Amino acid sequence: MSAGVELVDVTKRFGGNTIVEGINLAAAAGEFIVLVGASGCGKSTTLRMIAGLEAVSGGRILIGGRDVTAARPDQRDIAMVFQNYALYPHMSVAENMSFALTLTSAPKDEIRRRVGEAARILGIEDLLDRKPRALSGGQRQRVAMGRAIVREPSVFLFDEPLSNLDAKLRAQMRVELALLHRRLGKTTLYVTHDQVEAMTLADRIVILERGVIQQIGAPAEVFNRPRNLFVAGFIGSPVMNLFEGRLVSPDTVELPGAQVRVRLSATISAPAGKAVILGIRPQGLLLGADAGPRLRMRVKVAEFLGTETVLNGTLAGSGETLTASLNGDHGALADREVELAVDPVHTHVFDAETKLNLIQPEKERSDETT
Amino acid sequence: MNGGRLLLAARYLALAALAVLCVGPILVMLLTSFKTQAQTFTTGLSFLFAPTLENYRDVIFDSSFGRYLINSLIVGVVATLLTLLLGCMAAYGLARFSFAGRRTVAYTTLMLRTVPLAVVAVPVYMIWSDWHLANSLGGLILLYIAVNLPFTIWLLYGFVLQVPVELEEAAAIDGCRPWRVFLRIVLPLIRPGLAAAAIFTFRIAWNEFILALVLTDRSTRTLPVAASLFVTDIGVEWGKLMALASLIALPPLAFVFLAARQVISGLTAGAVKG
Repeated sequence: MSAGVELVDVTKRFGGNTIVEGINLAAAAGEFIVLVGASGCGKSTTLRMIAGLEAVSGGRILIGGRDVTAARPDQRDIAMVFQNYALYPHMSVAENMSFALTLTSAPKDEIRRRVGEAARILGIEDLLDRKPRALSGGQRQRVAMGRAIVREPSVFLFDEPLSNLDAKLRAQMRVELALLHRRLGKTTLYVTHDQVEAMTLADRIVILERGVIQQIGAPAEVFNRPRNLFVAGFIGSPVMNLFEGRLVSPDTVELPGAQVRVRLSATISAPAGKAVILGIRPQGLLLGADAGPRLRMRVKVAEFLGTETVLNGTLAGSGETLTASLNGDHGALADREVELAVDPVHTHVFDAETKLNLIQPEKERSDETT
Repeated sequence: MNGGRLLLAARYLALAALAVLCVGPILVMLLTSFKTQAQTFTTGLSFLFAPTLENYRDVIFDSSFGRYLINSLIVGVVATLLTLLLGCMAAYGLARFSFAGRRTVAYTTLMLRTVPLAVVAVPVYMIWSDWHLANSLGGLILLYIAVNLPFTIWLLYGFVLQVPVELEEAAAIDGCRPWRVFLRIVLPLIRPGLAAAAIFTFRIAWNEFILALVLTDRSTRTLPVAASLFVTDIGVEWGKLMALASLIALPPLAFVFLAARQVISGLTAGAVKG
């Protein structure tokens, strides 16, 4: 059984500091929700409140329609995987996995069956008699997931579960997590600061900053339609280029420093002359394209990554930092000046005061992502 | 290279000297326990003498030896168990719960231990007499708990702090209430600390002399006090004294050997990313 999770105005205060401010979130049964944000944005605190490890200062938490705001962790029908695995070091893998069931005095046959089943799913059948200290990081991670699976909870909570693994193992475990979720179909709330994990695993991403939700949406939606400047800067790699500019017509922004006019993909209903911030994804800068306005870039470093080259440098004229991501090997462009065309699809315009995206929501093709 | 060897030789020499300092007195004690009173004075520190078990026979078959041994065992074991029981709970409370004065208590606990035992002997005797605890094993046990608790709390406090909080949280999600978290997760993980504290407490309760001398009588005497009875007005019965001292030294030694593995083994390895 999978159950939905609902947060209603959930708030957390420590002393005078508000860590989480009035979060509203509804995760449908079976949905994979990723909470993402920088350190200290309140994402882990939110997860801990859902787990019952942290009391809420205000608001309500519902799991499967049941109000669990005041319930003990074990009464919430959840299982949690911790960043540092939190395996009981004095117990074997099998004992770790079966610990929760032994506490409920489940029949021994049933415990054995469920531990065996979880071990088979995760490929850790050979490790059942070992102690955690005799396991590698990836194996510990699997055991931690196995411990969660054995309980057959309605909701899985993951608190940065892959951040202690090396890059290769992380990529592998990410795929396994996605497969596991597809197989078990359980509602999952997953906290990470790694946007690759967020983009690849999530049905919907929740972006938090200073305890406030900035945007909730499918990965493609938050990438293509960042609601505000924070989301724009947070999602996407390399990070979106941001320049101070001025609206000269409903579909054109002028960058005074570089003396360039950039065409947008949509029209904006704001008065001409309005101060805006123009965002251009590094992937939206094209070398050698004929059409459109061009940005002159002084390349300082060219990083060839195998299939693409990331150019790091400055915008000629204004000296603002500029990053471009080009297909193919362009390592030879280091220390040179290049002209880059701007693909309007990858442009975003934000109000310089409110930091909100000015491109109208009706232009968004949100149906595509669902 | 030569300098290095010289340094190594010097190091071993220093270690050998230290070893002699440590083992020497024990050796003298053992040797003397196998000598007759006359041999003690005629042979000096020599190994060349006809050993005798007479001292051990006299000590062990003395009518009171059994009683003193049982007294010592009761005092040592009960004081150790109660100290550990109270100490681990106090350490856990200090490490995990927040309450007024927690920091002060955590930092000043050990200060109590710096008070010399001889200083408190007489005041405690007066108070214990008033409370009808003087000359009883219970009174002595109570005092040994008070003496050992600060160090035990301080030692176990450090061990509890090393237990990752996530383990307790994982246990809470798994269905453990606070008491169960303490018994099933925390206690097994601080076992090396408990073993070290047990050795420390038992050793003091077993060996302690001054307080035991003041606070016990003919029927509640412990072994160290009994040993002092061989120092009499007409002289010291060296052979018997050393035989009893050798017997007294045995249990703590055995205890340390048994528990040493516990102390050394790093039980928490693998709890979190290693």
